[in-house]
Amino acid sequence: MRVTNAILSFVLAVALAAAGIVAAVEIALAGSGDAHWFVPWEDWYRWLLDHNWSESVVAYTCWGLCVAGAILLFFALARYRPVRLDATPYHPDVSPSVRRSSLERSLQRTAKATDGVVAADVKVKRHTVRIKARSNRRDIAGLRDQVAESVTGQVAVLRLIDPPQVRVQVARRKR
Amino acid sequence: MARKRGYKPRGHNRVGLGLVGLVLLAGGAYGLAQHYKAFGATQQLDPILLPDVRKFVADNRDWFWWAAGGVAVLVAILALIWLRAQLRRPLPGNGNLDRVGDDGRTRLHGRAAAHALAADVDAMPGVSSVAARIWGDPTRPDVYLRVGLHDDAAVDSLRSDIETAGLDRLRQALEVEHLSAILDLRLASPQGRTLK
Repeated sequence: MRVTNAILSFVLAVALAAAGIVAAVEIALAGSGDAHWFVPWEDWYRWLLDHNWSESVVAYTCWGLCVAGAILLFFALARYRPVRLDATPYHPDVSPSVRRSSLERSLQRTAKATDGVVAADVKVKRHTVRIKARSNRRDIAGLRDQVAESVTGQVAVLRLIDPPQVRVQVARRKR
Repeated sequence: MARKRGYKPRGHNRVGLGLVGLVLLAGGAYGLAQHYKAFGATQQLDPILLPDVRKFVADNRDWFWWAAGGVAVLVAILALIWLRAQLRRPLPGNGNLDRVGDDGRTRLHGRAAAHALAADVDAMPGVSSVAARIWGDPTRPDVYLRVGLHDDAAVDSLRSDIETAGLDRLRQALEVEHLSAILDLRLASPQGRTLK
């Protein structure tokens, strides 16, 4: 999502810069009585006069604009998971933080180190840590609390400024 | 107080994408309203380049094209600023810390100081990797320290050592009272073997 945002931003910025420069040059050329340079604006002008709003090409184009606009707005307003989580410093000169992806892997290792857990999927968000663990046991009584306790302990050690709440789900062995 | 974390272009991207998205959505919605006769059946049969727009441009041709050219240049400049913000490095590289005194000028190479700091932190037990950068005001330099910590290390005391004793040694070496440090912690797999 964050990568898509960056790619879209780069493409749009290049396109807007190019469009602005081309438009300025075309306006200057037209003002001095010269023919077009890059954009055949005379043809475009005639096309805009020859077609009206009832035509289906107009509707398709406008739907396309609406969809493109909605997609851009979605990426502009989307809430991303934080790249880093701020931690409480030991010294006022320091601004410490923990990289989220490394914390996810660390918590996954912690969850998997619990006896009875064979796999764990960890997602760290701004306010929550969600763990979906899978057990090799049929009886998983108490396992959820064990995983939650060890993961919460690991999070607490990092002294995060806004420690996320740990939520654990454990799935039992099916057969 | 510590310095704000490294520069990120995400705010610019959100504003840029949001503005362009709004313009596209507004333009598309207006066109659809015309197409589906929201402004009346006769308006639907108007040419796409509306007569009122043509009349307005013709009546104001003295200034209109100057303004249109100005807007085009402004759009290009804003887009280039946006592009530059995206291509900017999040943090500057190592810089030299130059100090001018009565006896002359002293230059401390930021790269050398950063290497010394990285070596100092790397020697602490439980540290898996270190990278450091130093730049900025020689009286209050900026420090970026990326430290990988093993899961089974005593993270609490290790962090305390890095942030207090480790950076104190750097302060003494640089002969400064304060610095602004960004500590970027990454958790790595445990150093010891695990039996399951």
